[in-house]
Amino acid sequence: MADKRLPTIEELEAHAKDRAALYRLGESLIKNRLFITLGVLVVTGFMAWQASTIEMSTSFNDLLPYRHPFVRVHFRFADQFGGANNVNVMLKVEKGDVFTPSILKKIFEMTQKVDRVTGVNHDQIESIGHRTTRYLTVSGGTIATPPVMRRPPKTEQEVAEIKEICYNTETIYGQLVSLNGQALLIKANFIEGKLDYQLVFEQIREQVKEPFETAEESIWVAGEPQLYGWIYYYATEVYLIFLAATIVCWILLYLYFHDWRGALRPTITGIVSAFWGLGIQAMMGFSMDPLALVIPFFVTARAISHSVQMHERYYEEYRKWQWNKERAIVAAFAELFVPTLSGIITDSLGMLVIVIVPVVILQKIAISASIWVASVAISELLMNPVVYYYLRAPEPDKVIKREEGWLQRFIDGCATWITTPKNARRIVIFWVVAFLISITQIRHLTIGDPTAATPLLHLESPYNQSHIEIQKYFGGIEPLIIVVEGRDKEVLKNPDLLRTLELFQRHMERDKDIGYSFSLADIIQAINMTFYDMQPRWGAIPADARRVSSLFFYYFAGTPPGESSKFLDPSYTVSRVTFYCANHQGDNIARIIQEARRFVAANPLVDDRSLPEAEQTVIADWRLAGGLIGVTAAANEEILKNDLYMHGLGFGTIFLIVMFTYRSPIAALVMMIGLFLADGVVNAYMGVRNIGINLQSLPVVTVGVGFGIDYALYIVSRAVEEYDGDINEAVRRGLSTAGKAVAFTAATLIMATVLWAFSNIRFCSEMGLLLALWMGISFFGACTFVPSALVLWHPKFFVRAAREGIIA
Amino acid sequence: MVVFRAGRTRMRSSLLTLLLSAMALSGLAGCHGEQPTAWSTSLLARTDKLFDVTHVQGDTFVAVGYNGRILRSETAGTSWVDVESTTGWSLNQVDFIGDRGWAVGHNGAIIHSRDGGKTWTTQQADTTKTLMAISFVDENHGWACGDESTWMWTDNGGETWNVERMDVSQVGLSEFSSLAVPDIIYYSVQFLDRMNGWMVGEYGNIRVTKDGGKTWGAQHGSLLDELVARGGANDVMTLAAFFSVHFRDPMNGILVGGGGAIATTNDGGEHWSWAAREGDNTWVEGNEYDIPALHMYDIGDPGDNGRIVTVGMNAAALGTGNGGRNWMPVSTPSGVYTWINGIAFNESGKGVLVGGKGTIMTSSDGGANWTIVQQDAAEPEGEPVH
Repeated sequence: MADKRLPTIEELEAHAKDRAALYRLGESLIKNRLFITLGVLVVTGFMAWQASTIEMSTSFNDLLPYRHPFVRVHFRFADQFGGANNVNVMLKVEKGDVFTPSILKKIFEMTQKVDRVTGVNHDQIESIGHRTTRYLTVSGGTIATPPVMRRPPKTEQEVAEIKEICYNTETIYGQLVSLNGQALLIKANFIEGKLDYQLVFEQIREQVKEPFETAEESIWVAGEPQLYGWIYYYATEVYLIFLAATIVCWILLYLYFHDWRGALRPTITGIVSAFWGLGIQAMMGFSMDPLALVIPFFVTARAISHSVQMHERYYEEYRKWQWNKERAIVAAFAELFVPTLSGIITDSLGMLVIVIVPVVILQKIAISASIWVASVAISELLMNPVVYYYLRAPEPDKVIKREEGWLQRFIDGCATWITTPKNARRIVIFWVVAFLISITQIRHLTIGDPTAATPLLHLESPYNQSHIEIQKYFGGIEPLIIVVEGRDKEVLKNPDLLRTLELFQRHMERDKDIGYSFSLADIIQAINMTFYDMQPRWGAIPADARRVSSLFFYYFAGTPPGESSKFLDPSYTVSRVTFYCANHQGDNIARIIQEARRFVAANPLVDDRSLPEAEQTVIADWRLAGGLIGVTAAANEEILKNDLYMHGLGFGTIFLIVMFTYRSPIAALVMMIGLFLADGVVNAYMGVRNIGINLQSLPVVTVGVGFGIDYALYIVSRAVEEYDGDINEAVRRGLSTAGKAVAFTAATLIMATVLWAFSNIRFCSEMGLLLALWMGISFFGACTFVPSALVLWHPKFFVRAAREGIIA
Repeated sequence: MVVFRAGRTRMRSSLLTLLLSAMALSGLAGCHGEQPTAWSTSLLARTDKLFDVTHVQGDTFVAVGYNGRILRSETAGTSWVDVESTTGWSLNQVDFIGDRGWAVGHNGAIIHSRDGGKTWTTQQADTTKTLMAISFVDENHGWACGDESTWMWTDNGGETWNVERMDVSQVGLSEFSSLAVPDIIYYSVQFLDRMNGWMVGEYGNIRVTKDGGKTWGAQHGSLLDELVARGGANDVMTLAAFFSVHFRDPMNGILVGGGGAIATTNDGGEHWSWAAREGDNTWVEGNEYDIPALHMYDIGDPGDNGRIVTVGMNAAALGTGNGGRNWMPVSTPSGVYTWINGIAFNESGKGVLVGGKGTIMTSSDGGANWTIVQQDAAEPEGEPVH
């Protein structure tokens, strides 16, 4: 655009009169610069101090949708029947079986170590080396339940005894000793309130794994606390990625603006808003979840995006106002005030939308991220004129050279191409086709985890390898707990109730992803069989209530109360059925829960199943569902319920703000279709790449909806500004000016975001790629679809906005 | 400009169409992930318990088990189908004569099939005692036994059952014997014809009848005598339960039971002698293998002149070539340690054994080599469980 005529000062002044209020605001900000600087510095300093106190931690309970009935069941019974935080340690031998004195000594010692890990529930450890893992035997005419091992065995005779006990106890063989006899499992439950993931991770590594592992005898550790331990372990690399991203940004900004002020300005905005965001987060007592670290990165990206627009505009105005620094500052401020503010409000409200999901961690993220984004306004709008005032003005020749460089020529070329009506039509068709293709892929999107191993880490990560190895030997280790709550005392002694529990177990175990299950019915069967000659045919629930009663009596007479409470309470009112599931893949959980619900609805816990239905009395209630599978199911259901709702609210918010800004629903529609298309493509990407929508990705996906709206806002508002009778020309100019900054911002942020791909945390790397893709698609949508629609459609709002100003 | 205006109108409507269709499609897309995958059930789960298997005809076998489960195979055990059961009570044993079959179980459950095990009906007996075994010699004459010295007989194919109580044998009964002795559980019954039959159970009791059950004698005295000769007490309380009795002809019989107890006779039970007991293998000469002190639950006979296979705890499976005197382990897949409670062969030496953890194995060589039919997670070398 070498032939472009610069407006005269008079024309500029006349233009300034149209929005005199904003110009005056800019001027008064500069006038009160000392006061503003001091104020912002003091508050920012305070926020920085607050931010320094923030802790990185995950509270498991925060991850649960607290209103869901499953989660309430989980909270009520987790202490007694085991919660969702289980660590599984498997000791595996390469040759022979585990029944040798040295291996049994090893499992005994490892179990003692596990029992000493901070926060472990001492009554909820299962291992053949633990005092609470008992077997049944008849001695002196009554039943005794001694522990499998009181001490490590010394003689071959003792080893042979332990071997026989293990293979003949239903609750041990297949559950704590693998079916092929090559692996032993220690299952430890942790008390949720006392859980320190990092500490548990380190203690298990230093005391349970490393001292005992040899080439022949490998040790594998899995379970939720271990998973979070790994994530913390990797989380330090986040700082490296941050550093690398900052350096990349700086280099690109310098190359773009040709001076260090261009790099400094976005940095100031990024840092100030980070202090405010983190400071307020700390003041509200929220901690930082390592998995939510992508969010601040995203917020900072928004801040930088606004900053680059402002800086670009400042350069341009500086030239136009014939190197009058103060007028240029005020003009850039006033002209960008509306798009910047509506961009910030859109982003901020877009994040706040997440607050509707009744999951504490999401609500915390929503509130802190939304405040963080809002604080971009402090540095971008309040501080901006002041900062420019203090900074030396750019060199005029650099400004001129930039506007005539190859980049500008390239952008001008693109702008001309896009705004040709024939090409515009092609662009619209292209987007429609892309969207339709995407729709076919969205079906692959899963709610919850799409893979058996955890999607948070890479498949080849040590954690996932352990998880897979343990599943291979034990079939299932992730518990689904279904509580049975009697309406009266002693109801658990009812044989028909026990039979119903048992039918439930046998029914559910037919699912390929349920390894095995456990309930009071298994105990009764085991006692019965032990009582009668160890003949497996007696492994059944007696038909006679008195017999059940006496079996319970024999059993509990020989078992310490602390160790029977994990099965039932002393009044025989509350017990549980636990299913050990092979994985927590979203669709598998949905299927298992659906089937459990169906069975439970069809089989109420009645007193006598042989009576006609009308005469049966319900004596106990099913309570779904605790354990990791139960609470994950709750989270998935909650996400499913809220996912569309949030999409709707997110788009609705944007729609309202744009509509308000341009006083035109059509304007809002034009700008939103681009976003809509990007959303479709990104969802398709998630489907193809197997990224499920879960508690971690939900905030990213939701805030991403707002991506690109400010790109569109900047371009359209600039085009409106440039309008002098020819819409196509106005759009072309808008693209070649605001579009240039948008293109640069998008390129910079994409490059910085792509660095996340190197993260060891698969979640972060996938989210990084996803965000990069999202920014790219939104950028293309804003720069191609929106201008094409304007060119083809010539909407009325455009002309009116040009005539009357964007906001009346 | 005229062309352009026309384009503008067209574009307006097409934009609206685009928008509407986008909304509609995304509504459809909103269904993503909601549909859980279909509920698919496998035939056997690893907590399935099968308590007995029997040969019907040809390559047809029927297995029974926990919660009234009935499985049927027409391929000598390599493939199975679920058969609808008329009882929810666990079935302990099944027996077939031709295509007529009977199975007994807990709470006095008896079910009957007239078509080789494809369909079953319930039979009534006036007892709620647990029934452990059943034996038929023809379509009409059968005997069953079980808990608390209960036994019963029918002469009309089970249309009516006559419940009886076994008297207490005085053999080896000392004055210190427990009150439990009168309430013996009889675990196994075998009749060779309408007259001659045996019933065995707890405290080493071996009962015999030569008149179809009108009167019962006891045969465990000879086993106690052998123990006394080695310095043991003449007390049935020292004897473990016998879980299975098998006569391949009226003279040659074998018993297996708790603690690796095995005894044989070659004179119709007049004299029984120990082959092994509680890990003690010194009763017979020429042992190359020591029978462990594991419960043995069932006996399978491929009909090959004294070749017999017995199965039990910890997946123990032992074979003998001389009617039960000397034993060697048969070849079973490694990595299986569950109990095996039932074993059966057909005329051509094809065999099936069933047990805990949903275990079924087959043999095609008279029980010398066995292979797993379906066993979840027992083969960790395979693919990980997805």
